[in-house]
Amino acid sequence: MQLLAQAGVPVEGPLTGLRAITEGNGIAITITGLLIVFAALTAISLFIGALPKVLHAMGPYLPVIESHHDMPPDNGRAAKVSSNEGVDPRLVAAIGWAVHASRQSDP
Amino acid sequence: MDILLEFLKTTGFYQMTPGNLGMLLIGLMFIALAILKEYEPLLLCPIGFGILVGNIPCAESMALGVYDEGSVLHYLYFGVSQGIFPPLIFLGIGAMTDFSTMLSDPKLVLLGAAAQMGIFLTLLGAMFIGFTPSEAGAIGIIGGADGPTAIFLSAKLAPHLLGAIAIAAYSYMALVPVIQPPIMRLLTTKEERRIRMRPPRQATRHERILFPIAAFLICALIAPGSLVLIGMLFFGNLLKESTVTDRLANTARTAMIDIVTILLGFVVGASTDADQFLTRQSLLIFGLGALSFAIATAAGVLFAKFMNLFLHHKINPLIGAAGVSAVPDSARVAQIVGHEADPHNHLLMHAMAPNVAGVIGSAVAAGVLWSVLIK
Repeated sequence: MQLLAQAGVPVEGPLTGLRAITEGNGIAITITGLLIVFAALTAISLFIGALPKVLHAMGPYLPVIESHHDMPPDNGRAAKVSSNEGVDPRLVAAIGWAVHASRQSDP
Repeated sequence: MDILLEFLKTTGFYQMTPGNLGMLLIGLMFIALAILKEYEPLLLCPIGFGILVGNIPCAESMALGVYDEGSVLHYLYFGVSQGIFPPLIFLGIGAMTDFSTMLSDPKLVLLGAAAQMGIFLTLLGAMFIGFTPSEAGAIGIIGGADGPTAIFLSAKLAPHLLGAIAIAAYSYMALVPVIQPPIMRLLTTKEERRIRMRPPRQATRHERILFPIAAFLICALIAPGSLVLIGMLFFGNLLKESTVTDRLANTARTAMIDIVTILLGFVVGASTDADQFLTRQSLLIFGLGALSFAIATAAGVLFAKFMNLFLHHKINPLIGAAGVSAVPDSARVAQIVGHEADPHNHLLMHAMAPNVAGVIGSAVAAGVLWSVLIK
């Protein structure tokens, strides 16, 4: 390209500025991309919002999902340790934060 | 004697260039950050050592480097250049991700979408300063704060920029605790940072099993370009949540993701040969990457504030910054900044919702850019 320029042949460099955005359809790509991302995540959000109601309505027809995870453990202590039922999520968050803070302070 | 002199000419000391030396220092800095500061050590350590390996100069007749056809590193790099490693990492991420917090508060998913503005606005910025649309798309995805997604898209759209984009993406992911807090504090008042959110409800087992299947169908049908990344992410999550494939889920989230992370990090580091890496373009990519990250963080926070205009139960706008993915670091940052304003306020659980939504959002954005910009 430099040789061409030295020979006096006009050489176009890469497009820059607003012209580059216009000719590369930058605005259209940006708007389309954002719309699609929002559409996908809004659809997921709506699905999640509707899911409990749908599951509630379909309750009698839904199969009971069982696996070894749902089997009652042999002793009560193990049940308390392995189950998160009844544990305050704020407590879990606090423990998570304490562990994180401890790791951060560890040189 | 001649043989000895010839051999000395092949040594790294003889052939060392200032560029190689600079890259070796960068590699050492990455390793130091990983070990001393624990900034993303699982990534920065392999990348840092890879940089050392990739910048030892050797005779051209010896096929040793990533770009030398037939070399071992060249074959390992195939997993990066063909976009094989990123989906495998997504499988592991899916197998270790708990979407419960997202399921318990679906409106927070939108914060993961808002943070993707960084990707698209940076695309415009990159085009403005002279990058082609394909290159601009690959650079913009750095704002998704998702290393595998950035590598996947740049391998497809701008393979010649892959090294710089990957290093920039992982560097900024490691620097999340440095980049995000000032922006978060600048855009929020102390009262906003002290907002307490309702504790999330417990998602049922049916919800957790149905979610990955339905979310995959929604995303893949809307943006088929995201099929591979999203498919692997949700497949991994189904393995985890079904609980009947524990062996597969365990392998995906432990041994497999570790092996792929080692290979990916190492060869990405080894691809940063000074001749290829130390260019004006790389510097511009680093600048645009920082801009992308900053815009993504600001967009997430501002969108949370916008949502608060319509919500009865307010969102703490700090968790909007977690929409940039970088799981779980950006959620931790939200927790830390919130904790400074109110030591009894724990945002970590809430921030995980936009955090994992951001992973989905950046994969969808990558799919859209790939579909639109591929030639």
